[in-house]
Amino acid sequence: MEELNRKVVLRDGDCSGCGGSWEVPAGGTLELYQLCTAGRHEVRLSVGEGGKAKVVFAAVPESEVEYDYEIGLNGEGADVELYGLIMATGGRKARVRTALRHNVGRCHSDQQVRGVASEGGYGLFDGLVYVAQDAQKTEAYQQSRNLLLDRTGRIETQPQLEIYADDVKCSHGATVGQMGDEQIYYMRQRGLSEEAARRLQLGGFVGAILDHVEDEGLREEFESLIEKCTTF
Amino acid sequence: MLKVKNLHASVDGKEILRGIDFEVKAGEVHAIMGPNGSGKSTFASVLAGNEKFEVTEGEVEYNGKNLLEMSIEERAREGLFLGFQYPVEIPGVSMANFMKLAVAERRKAQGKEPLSAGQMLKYMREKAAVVELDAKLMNRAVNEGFSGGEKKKNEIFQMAMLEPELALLDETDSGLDIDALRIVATGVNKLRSEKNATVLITHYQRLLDYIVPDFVHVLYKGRIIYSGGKDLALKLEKEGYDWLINDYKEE
Repeated sequence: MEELNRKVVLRDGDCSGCGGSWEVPAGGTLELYQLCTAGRHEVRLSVGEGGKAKVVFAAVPESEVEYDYEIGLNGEGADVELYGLIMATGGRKARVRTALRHNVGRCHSDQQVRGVASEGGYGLFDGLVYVAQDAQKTEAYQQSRNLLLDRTGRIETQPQLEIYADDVKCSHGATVGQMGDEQIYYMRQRGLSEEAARRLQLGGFVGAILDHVEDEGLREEFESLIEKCTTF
Repeated sequence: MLKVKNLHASVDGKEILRGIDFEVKAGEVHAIMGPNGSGKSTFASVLAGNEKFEVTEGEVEYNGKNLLEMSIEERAREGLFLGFQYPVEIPGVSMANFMKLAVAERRKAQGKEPLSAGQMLKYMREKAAVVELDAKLMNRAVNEGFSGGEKKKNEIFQMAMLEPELALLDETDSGLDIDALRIVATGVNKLRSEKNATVLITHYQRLLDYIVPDFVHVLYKGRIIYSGGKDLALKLEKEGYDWLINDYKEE
């Protein structure tokens, strides 16, 4: 029997190199947080009628990590929110693939994924939104925002929309930007060191995702993972 | 406080400042005027330490120290403030966090105790009131979604927070309606004291109706070609720059 409301946290050791599959029953909720630092992880979710799933992940590897999310919106009124960080600094590699499948109508999904890369690090976001032919009144949004901290970091972002229904609201956007020199200059003119200015700006960029982790202890876990597995 | 001698600076090999001499003493208000492209903003940027510009010749002494050897943040911590003509937006960085760090650095340099969280909030509210800036903006990202007027008020708010000794205000009046101009000018006037000095960089006499300068200088082609008292601004407003520029022979 599936529980109606569940909260799952995937850490190293809980599912080294595996993942898992969960079903959100009609009217149920699932919160899934993932902070694994190595291996390949496949997560499969199926969300039933009026069910809600919220996923927050940090793909911040010790050296390499790969996440693969396959999420089916399989009952009318299902709702999926997915917030993620991909941070590949100091030669690390992080790959994330998401596929949100709107198989029935009147469902809603929102994906916000942010990537950071530096010093030969490589980050990949491959995000698919699929809307089946009968899935009318679908609302699906996807946003990929990325920040390169230097000239050697690399980010690849591949947003894909496959839409077979005609009455839908869908959007996607991808940006790759650099840490702004103008902003750093502005903050230094107010007395912040260059390092403090960079950290503050990066903290803001990353914080927008971490704000979706409401549990304070868990948020601290995300923050210390980022502290541990990034170099700037 | 500030002594500038024969300052030359260039950007991408093009010389913009071509021998500026300029002195500011504590308690004074100076206005630097001049036609577009004469080097006014460059002068302010060079004093602030903007790395886009290369100083090729000359000296700048600030409170007895060699300003040109100081980093951007050292200059700021020592009380040099630049009010930007175009304040940048910094997504993801809240005004409150930004000010907390900036004020902590400034206070450390002043030898003052750090403020507690409660004192900081009260201090921010007080200073926001000086320029009639909505205190709710403190929870927003720096300048993000601020109106033009709010951005300029935000510069003066930050100036109030950081208690500069030398404030350089680069075209703070541009793009402001009369109400906002009056508020900004009132803020600047409230912050005037015997111990600090203000340099206003402006196109228009308009600002000088509200902030009365002790000295007015005309910058043209990278040099200060004429200096006078507050009446000079009125004459410039009425007669333009031509009479000065025509007198000025290029070598």
